[in-house]
Amino acid sequence: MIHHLTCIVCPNGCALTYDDKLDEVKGNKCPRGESFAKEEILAPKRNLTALVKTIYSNQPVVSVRLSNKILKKDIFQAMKIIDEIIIDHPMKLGDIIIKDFLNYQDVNLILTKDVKGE
Amino acid sequence: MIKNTYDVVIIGGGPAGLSAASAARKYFKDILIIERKEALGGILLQCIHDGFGLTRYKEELTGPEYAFKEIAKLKEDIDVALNANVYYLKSLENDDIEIKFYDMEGVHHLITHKLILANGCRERSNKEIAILGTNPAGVYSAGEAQYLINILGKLPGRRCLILGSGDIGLIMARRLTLEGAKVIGVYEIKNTPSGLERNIVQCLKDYDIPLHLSMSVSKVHGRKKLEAVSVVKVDENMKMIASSEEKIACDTLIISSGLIPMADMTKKLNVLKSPLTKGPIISQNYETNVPNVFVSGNALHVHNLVDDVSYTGERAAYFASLNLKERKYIDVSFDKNITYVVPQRIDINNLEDKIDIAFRVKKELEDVTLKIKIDDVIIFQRKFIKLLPPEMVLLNVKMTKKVFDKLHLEVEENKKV
Repeated sequence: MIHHLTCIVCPNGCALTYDDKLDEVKGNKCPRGESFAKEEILAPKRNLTALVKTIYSNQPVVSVRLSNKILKKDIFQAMKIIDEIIIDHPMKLGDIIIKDFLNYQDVNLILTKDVKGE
Repeated sequence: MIKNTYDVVIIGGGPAGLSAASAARKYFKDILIIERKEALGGILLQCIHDGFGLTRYKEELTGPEYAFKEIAKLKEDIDVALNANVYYLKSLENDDIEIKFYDMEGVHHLITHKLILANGCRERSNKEIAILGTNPAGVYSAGEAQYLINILGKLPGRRCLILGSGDIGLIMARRLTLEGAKVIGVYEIKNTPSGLERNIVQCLKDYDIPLHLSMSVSKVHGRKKLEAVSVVKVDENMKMIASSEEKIACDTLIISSGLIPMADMTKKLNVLKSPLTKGPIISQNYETNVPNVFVSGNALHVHNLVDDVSYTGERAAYFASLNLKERKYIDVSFDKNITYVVPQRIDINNLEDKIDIAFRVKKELEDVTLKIKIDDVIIFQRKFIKLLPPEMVLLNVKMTKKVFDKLHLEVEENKKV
C-alpha cells in the first residue's frame, strides 16, 4: 500500500509517498525528505519554540527554543517545564537555560533573544 | 547625529532594510536607516517560531535569531534613527529626495541622493473583510495576537476561533494551543488553504485543530466582550449559504486575512501602484516611476520567505548604486495562469545581464513549464512538478537579448506522453 505524507523540513513542503516497508520514499526534492519520512512514521519529532517569563516589566517574556527536536508526544510536558521558568538576570541570545532538557542528551533550552534587564 | 545629506536613506529597519543597509555599505558612504519602532528587526522580533533562514543561512532560525544575524552585519558607521516617523517625502528637480521625519530628539530635515523603501506590509483589517454584528473587544488581527502573546506575554483569550488560513493564522493556532488556549477551528472562505502545506501539518494536524474550508464568519456577537461568532458555509462563488449558519461560543476571534504592502511612503511620492500586488510598479532595477526611489521586501509585494525579502533588499541597494541613464520602459505581459509578475516593466535603457522575476499562479497547477519569451523567442524555461498560489516563485534570469519590444511569461501544462 502507498501512503502519503507532507514533508515539513522546509517551506517546499514536498508531497512524499512511501510503501509499507518504508524502503522507497518518493516525491522528495532533497535527501532530508527521506530521513524525515522514516522518522515521521516511526517516532515523529518536532522543534519547539516558546516563551519564558522574566522579572523585567519592559520585557515580560522572552523567546526560547529547544536546540534540537524532541518527540512530538513530549511537547506538552516540555511546555509545562518552560511555563515555570522565570528569568531574573540579564542573559544573551544563545545562552542555555536548561541543559539536557527532559533528559534528552542533545537538547538544550536556549534563548533566542537577549534579556537586557532594566 | 543625523546629517544634512545622505547617499542613501532606507526607510524601515526590518529584514529588507537591514540587508539593504549592509549591502549599501559596499557602494555608499553616508547611509541612514529610519525605523518607526524602538529597535531594529521589524516583525521578525515577534515571529518566535522557526523556519527562517533555510536558504540564506542554511540553518533553521527563529525570527529573532534571524534578525540578530542581520543586525550584526551592520557596520557601525551606518546611522540609525529609531522611534522615527517620516512625515514628508518629496522628489526634487535634480532627482534627489527631500525627507522630513521626527524622533525623540525632534524634527530632522535632510536630502538624500537615493531612497530605498523597505517599510514592509500591513494586515488586511477586519473592516476590509466586512463582518457584520457588534464591535466587541476580543477581535484581533493575527499580527496583533502575535504581539500580545510573544512580546507582551498576554493570552488574548481562552476559546479562540481563527478566520483565514494564512501562515500567520496557522502559526498563531499552534502558539495559542501551546500556551493553553483552546482553538476551536480555522475557517477559510476559499476551498484551498492559503498557508503553506507544512504549516497545515505542523500547526493544525499536530494539535488536532480542525480546518474548515469554504466557510467564513458571518456575524460577531457580544456587546463589550466577544461572546460568540456565527460561521457559515459559502458556495463556489464565495456567497454565504444562510441556511448553514451556526453560532459558536468563543471569547477571541483572530483574523488572518492576508497582507498588503504599506502604501504610506509611496503615496507621499506619488509612486505608481499595481492593482495586482497593491505595491508599487517597479522596473527590473527595483526602481519605481520616481527616479532614485527603490523598493524592496514586502513593501514591494508580499513574499513567502524572509530569505527572499533579504535578497531583494540587497538587490535594491545594488541597483541604487548604479548611475542609471534616462529610463525607457516596456511592459511585462503574462498569461491567464499567472496572478502577477514583478517587475511590472523593464527599463531597457538600463538593463543588466541578469534580472529578477517573481510571479505567483492563480490556481494549483501540476506538471507545467514556465516560459519567458522576448519578442516571442523563449529565453528561459523551467519545469515545475507543482505550483501553488500561496507559493511565490523568484527567479534570476539571464537576458540573452538587450534590445526588444516585448517580455512575456506563460505557464503551460506539459503534454502527457
